[in-house]
Amino acid sequence: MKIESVRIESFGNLRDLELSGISENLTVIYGKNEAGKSTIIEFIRSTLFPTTKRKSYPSYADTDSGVVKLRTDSGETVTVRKTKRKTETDGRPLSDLIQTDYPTYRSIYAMSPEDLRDSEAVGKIQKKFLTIPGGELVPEILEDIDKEMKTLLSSERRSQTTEIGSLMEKSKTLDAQISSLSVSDDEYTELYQTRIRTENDLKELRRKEKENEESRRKAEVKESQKSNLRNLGELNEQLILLKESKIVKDGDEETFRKLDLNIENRKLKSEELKSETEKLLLKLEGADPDALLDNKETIQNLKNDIGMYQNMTGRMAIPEQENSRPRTNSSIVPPAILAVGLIMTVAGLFVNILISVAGLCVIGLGAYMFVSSRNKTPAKTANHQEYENLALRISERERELNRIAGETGIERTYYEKDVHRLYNLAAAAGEYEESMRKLDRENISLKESKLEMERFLIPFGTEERFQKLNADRKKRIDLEKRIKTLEDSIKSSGYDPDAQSADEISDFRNEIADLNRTLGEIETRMKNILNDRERESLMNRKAEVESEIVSKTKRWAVLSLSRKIVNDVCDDLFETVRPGVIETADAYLSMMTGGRYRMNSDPRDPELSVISEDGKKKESEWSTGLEDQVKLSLKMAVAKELSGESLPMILDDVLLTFDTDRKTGACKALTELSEKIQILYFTCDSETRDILISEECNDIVSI
Amino acid sequence: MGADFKFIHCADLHLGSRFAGMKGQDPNMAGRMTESVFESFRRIVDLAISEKADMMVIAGDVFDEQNETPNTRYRFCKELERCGIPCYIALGNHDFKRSWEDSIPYPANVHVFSVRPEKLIANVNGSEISIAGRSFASRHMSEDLASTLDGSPDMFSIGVVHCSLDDSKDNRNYAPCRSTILLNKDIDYWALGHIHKRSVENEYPHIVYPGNIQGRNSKETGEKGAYVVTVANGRVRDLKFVPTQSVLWIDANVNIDGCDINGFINSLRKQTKPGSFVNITVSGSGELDRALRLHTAETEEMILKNTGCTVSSWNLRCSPPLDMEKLAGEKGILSEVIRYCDNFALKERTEIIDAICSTKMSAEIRKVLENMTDDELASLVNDSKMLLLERMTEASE
Repeated sequence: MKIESVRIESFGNLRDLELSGISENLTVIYGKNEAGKSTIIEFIRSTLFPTTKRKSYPSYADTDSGVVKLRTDSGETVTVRKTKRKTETDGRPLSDLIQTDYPTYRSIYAMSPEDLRDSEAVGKIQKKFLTIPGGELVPEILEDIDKEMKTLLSSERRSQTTEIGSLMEKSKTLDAQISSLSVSDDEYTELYQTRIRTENDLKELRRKEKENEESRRKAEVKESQKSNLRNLGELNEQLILLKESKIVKDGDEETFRKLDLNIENRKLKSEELKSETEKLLLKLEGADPDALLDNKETIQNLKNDIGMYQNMTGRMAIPEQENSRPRTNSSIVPPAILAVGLIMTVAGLFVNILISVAGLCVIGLGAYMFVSSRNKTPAKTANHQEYENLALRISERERELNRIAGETGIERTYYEKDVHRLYNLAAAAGEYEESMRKLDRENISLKESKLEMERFLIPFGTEERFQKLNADRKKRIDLEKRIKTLEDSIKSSGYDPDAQSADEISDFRNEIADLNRTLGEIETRMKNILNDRERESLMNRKAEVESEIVSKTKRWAVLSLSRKIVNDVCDDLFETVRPGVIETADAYLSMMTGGRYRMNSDPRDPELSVISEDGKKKESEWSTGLEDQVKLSLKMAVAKELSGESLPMILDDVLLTFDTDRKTGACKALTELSEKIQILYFTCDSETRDILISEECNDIVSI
Repeated sequence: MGADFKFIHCADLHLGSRFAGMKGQDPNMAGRMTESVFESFRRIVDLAISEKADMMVIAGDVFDEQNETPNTRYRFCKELERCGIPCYIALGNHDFKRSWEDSIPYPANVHVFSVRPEKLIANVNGSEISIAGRSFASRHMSEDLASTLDGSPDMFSIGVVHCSLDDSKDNRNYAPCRSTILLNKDIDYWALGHIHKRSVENEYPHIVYPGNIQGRNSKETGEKGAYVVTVANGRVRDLKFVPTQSVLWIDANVNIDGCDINGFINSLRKQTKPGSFVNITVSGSGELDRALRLHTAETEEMILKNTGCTVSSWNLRCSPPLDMEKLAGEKGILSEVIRYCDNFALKERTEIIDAICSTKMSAEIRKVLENMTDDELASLVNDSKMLLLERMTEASE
């Protein structure tokens, strides 16, 4: 599409202005400043894009009106009439002809130097036209990837500021801590071995100490038995002194006592007998006991004959039968008694044997009385002859009595009395003699006893000595008993004469206590190592860190891989598939810069950049001139390469900042572009106008 | 008359091991997780006591390499002591020899098998049984340890060993062995360890992996615990698995086709138990894709609030509601990205890692990446693709 003519009826301060003679190619519209170039451009823009709210000069007026005549690429003429804000066409509607939106139009086709430099618009162009589909997203994606990767890990600064870096640092610190703690493993082994050694030492010491305890105990016993032993020694010495007493044997004392007692008893008896004998002697009334005893038989006979003597003497004197009464009585009584006795005996057999016995006694009594009465009987029958005999016999008896009296030394009284007296004395003499005999016998026994005692005492010498030895013997026995008791006590105390003294025995108890303490410390330390949770928790922490490293590394790897993919794809694509826009822009830029710069077509660069011999040059590094050149090249290329209905390019003095050489280059490029699309170049710069003229651009319109 | 007794078979305790993939929402999480392994073993000891088991066999990997501290070992010893019954342990590849380990000796009821084949005769309830076992001597054992063990034909025999059974992968480091050989060793019950997923490989004779006792990462899902084996008259009468895990890891799958966030959470609720850790695999295509990718933390919070589950990992195989084929066919950078990523996913892991670490990055980062599985790396590529897709289509919304 091309502009054939422009007629402004009223727009801004322009009235009835006609632009005609516009070339299909390049037309330079030359006019001084303030001549209305920009107003004309704005008129064309606002006519082609009527709905757009314009901000630029001139401001809207109700009188705005005019006509732009267009001819489509197919040769159809379209008249576009502007009235106020509205635009009318006489043929196809504008929207059929113009597919481009206003901003694009303005940034690519109808631009002032400001529009040319509008980076936002350039960015859009870059995204839209300088890459293949999707390529426009690449810079942002790469930027995001890089940003995230850098937070994770940085190749430049392997520092703790990146996440993985700090995790790795942490992991290393943990490793160091863990390994410093694992020193305790070896320590544990050492402790374990030390414990075994210590236990063995302790065992050995305890064994020794046990022995020592025994020695110590023995020593104590030895000490405690000291006084006992001293006592024992003393007792033994005493015992030696009593050695002699050994000749006193068991039973000696008893024997001595018996013998002594015997002697005493005999002495006593002897004394008794002696006094008895003396008493008996007194009874003898001075009569010679020997004579009495010598005549004892005679005296007896005399005594026995005393009855007969009385009888004889009675008969010899006037025998007055003074005893007729007893005679009669006595002659009758005995038979009666016998009879009673007989009766009693016989009756007793039937009644009671005691009665019989009594009966027998009565019989005896009767018998005696009978015999007695019979004996008297002869005397009663004495005759004279017999008297003679009697006298003789009496005198015999008298003589006898006298002799005896003489011999015994008693004085004579009368016969009967003397006979009785003698008789009694004879009996006493018998007793006396008997007593004397007994006394003699007793004295003999006493003598024997004394002898026996003497014999007993021979080994001991004197009785006193025996008594002393015997006493010693008792002492000795007592001593021996005490010694035995002492010895037993010493023996039972476990006394060992060979025991060492307490000073000589070494003491391990302190050492044992020390070792026990050491062992306790070792065991505590071992326990601490075994129960060491710090290392375990560090290991847990390390596992967490490792896990985090893995997961972060995975993320980093995904990002790294994504970047790699994008880069590889971009390399591949932009090596082989170079968009036409780039090619064209490149060519224009080359023209404008005399071949010094080329477009950088890599879409990964978020900023527009050019490549010179010195390398890539980013927009921020460009001069204003270079910026204008790059952007113009780009826009021209886009305009050229855009498909569909072409639009005329309306440039408002965009080469103003260019130096002469560049202007020349740019003009060449414009001329070349104008072969394909119509260009209306508005300028106040005569140099540009002249260069364009020299570029065989003849369509000059002056206003 | 054969033996009548009961024993506990467990393996791969990995006491003291730390959990992988815990996110830092809960500052005490790591401690709780570490404790959960002990908790599970405590429950196994409780089980042994309540079941009145006659013995326990532990087929290796009691500890977890450098995570074995004196504290860990001490606690294990205390538990064994509490257990009281004879415990037989064959060491595995994670049971490192520690310079200090003799300082914390096992209680008297524990027997640790030698690194040479060892066979013990034990009297259980009046019958003799044999227990053969062998420990790992070093971290890697290419020798077939199991085949060096023999049982006793005249008594019930148990074989205890840490090994890799019928491993199709070319993995010769963990005492590889063949089940065909194990079947003819006069052993009635092979108590194995090493594989963290429990499985009964054979019956009569039994070849059993009890699995580990507590899931510790998103790969160790499902119930974990120990087997209670009842032997009657010299023959396995009952094999009962008893879960003892303190924390359950669950795999959940959600398709987001035509699904909003409520539908998503409902689906999760059906597949999980409160308090568990869940690995969520998301498939399908829909609007949720964007929320899941760009607002992961918020989504996780919502899941925790509504299901009581902690998300341990995401496997986002879903896509935004875009016609990918059409997009790929179009001209432009998006189609290029899609094509590029699809191509890239086929690359070797080193190439992927190189691509990620193209800039001079610290060796630690590279190490982290190298520790990842192929799947993890592939999902990184997919995540990148989806990130770019989301970003490049957001303008069009």
